[in-house]
Amino acid sequence: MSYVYAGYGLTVVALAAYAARLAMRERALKKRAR
Amino acid sequence: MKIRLLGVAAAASLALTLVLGLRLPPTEEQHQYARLIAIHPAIAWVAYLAFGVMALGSALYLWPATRHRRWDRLAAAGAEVGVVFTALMLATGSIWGRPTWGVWWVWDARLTLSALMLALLLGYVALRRVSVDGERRALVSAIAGLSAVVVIPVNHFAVTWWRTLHQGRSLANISPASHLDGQYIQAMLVGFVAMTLVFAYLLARRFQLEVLADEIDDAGLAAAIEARRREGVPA
Repeated sequence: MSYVYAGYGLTVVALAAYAARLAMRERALKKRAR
Repeated sequence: MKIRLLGVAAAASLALTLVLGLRLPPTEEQHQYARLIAIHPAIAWVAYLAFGVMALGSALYLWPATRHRRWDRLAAAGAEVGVVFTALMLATGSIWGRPTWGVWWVWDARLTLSALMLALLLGYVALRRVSVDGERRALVSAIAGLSAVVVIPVNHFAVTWWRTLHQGRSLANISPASHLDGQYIQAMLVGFVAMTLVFAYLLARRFQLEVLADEIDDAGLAAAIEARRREGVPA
């Protein structure tokens, strides 16, 4: 079962981390634009 | 606001995929590992989709009648989000392969071509960072993005053209003639919808970043031209 949890866990963590990274980049760009 | 709504729909459908996928009954052949069917084929579908978006954006940019910066931005966004999904496709496939095949990785046609997809996407993203000249970068990237798409049909049919360790095409299981249990088909379908929504959300967010970066560059260029004009130097 650990392989199943690893697959699901990795997917959720990777997608959430990428979404957070995009939000950080957006904030940095908006700061530069000001 | 629309993007936020898309994000909520993506998160909700992803949560539903997790619930349905993790509650699937074990199978005789693959035991509980078959539960990965709710996410892995859907992630693979989105990896193909992202590749297609990159190629479409590239083609529309290359075509003189439709040439516009928005297509270059779309291709750039599709490629970067594609890197995430292609890497996840390889990782979840490997995690599924270890208990069912006994190995993490094997150099068969499907897996090798999937690794090539990731290499091509990374190459495309790296290529965009080489040139600072916006138009030249867009043109060179569009040629690269369109050329790379040939790997998609080859990878899709790899499991029928060659003998591979990978199973046949997963989408073929979603048909009335399929022997797959209804619960499995349901979880797979929800997974496909969820991953497509997540992709659309991330693509929209990434596209916005491209627009923002271009606006900053344009404002910087306009300010530099204005400063030179004030100095009395022709721009």
